[in-house]
Amino acid sequence: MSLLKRVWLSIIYRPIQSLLLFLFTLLLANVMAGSYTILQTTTTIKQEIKDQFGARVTVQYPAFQSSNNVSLFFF
Amino acid sequence: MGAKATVKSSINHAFTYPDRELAGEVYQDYKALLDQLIQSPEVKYADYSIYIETFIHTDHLVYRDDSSILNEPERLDILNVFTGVNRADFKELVSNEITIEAGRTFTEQEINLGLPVLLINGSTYEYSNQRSIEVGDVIRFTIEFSDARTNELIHTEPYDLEVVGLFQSGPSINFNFDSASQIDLNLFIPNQTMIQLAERIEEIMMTYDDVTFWNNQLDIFIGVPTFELKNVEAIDSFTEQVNQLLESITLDREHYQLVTSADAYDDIAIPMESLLNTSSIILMGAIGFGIVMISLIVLWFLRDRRFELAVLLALGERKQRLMMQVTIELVVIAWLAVSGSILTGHYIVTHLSENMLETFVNQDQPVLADSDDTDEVVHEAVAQAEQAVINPLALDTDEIIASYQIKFGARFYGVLYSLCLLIILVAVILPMSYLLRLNPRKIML
Repeated sequence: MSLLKRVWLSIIYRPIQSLLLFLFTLLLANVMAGSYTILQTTTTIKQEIKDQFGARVTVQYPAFQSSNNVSLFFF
Repeated sequence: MGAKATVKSSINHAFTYPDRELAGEVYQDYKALLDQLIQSPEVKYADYSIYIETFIHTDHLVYRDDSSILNEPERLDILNVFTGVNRADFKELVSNEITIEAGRTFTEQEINLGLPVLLINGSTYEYSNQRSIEVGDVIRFTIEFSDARTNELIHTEPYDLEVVGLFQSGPSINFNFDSASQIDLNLFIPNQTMIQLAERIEEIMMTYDDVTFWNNQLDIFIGVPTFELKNVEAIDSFTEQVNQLLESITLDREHYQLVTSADAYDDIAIPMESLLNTSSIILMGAIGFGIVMISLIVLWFLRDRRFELAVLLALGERKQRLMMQVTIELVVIAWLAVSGSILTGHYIVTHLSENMLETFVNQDQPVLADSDDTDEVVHEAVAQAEQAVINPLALDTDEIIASYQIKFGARFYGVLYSLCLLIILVAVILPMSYLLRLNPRKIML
């Protein structure tokens, strides 16, 4: 009797055992799929927001700041 | 995040620098710093505005009747409306806050040499004889100098600017205002032109030694500058460069504030980071739990099958083949289960990710600069700078969703299958050691 045939018979002759394993793995796979999705989605959103924020920098002198984004100086 | 547009409020000075002599020096330092930073190799785009405040007006312009400007003054003072720009594609133009309706923007030559040229909003202003402004027109302004003690007008000087283009405010600006916004009133001229005008005014003030001018005969401002770097990674080295350049500044060095989009990003990233942590803990937990549970289940079943295994061994079957048999059984069941989970998982996953995307995308604007800085002025200034740093129109919801959808697919299932295979392979180690110690004689006799 070949190995594969024995595997097959072993699975179908013990339906309760196979079903239990099947259900457990199914549940596990779903939990993993869910958490992996959250992980992937969040990483993507994070990167996207980071990219869209871009690399913008400003250097300013806040002591001169008035209420309109303008710094005040006198020549 | 939703798109957001900001409207510049009209210019009201909250306060002025206490020492006006020093203020001039700080202005020079600040401008030198910005001009040096613009040359930095990391900078992709940089612009800043110089504003001046002086007694300047024109008799030739009025607000158009249909420009929806309330409280029309008798004389149009041009205080506060000149906005300097540092490049032809200046930031209001690039961000679509304004669009050129007729004519053109400035040329490099006009920007560099400070030629007397002007961009004006043709639907806000018209000539006092109701004629529309056209490209090529020269508008005459008048600079006035008065003696502060006698309030007597002692000198007037004409100042001509040529209209090279007419602009209109972009669609993002007038979203809930009936009246024209500040940007409609702006008269854009090159920064260099602004500086030359300020120098000319200063020159005239010098010639009147005995006259006391008003304190605000000439004030010059620098708006919050914007630097766009080539990539996010350049932020660190640019920050270092800024700090190096600040070393050489002696006056009020500690007042300079550097605000980067990375700072602003960090503020809104906290909930995302915690979600990332939670989901990776769940994923790791599921893997660990799966390994332990499958291990125990298989061990339990193997103990039930010990007679079968003993018979096979007694018949001369090698232990390796038995191990392989058990492993293949498990892999076959797991393969079926993962395939089954694709049906249910696909539903869960699309639902989950759509919900998450929507939650993120529809989040309100982040609250920025919530530091416990006691100096309110500095605090407010930093908040404004952070607003300037975040490109409000750039966060595009559709783009986020589109980029997400491409990445989701074959790779996801590949990861799911290989993770399950990994769990099975690790989980069979314990049952295998049981199988190895199996002695058929002990079991059957």
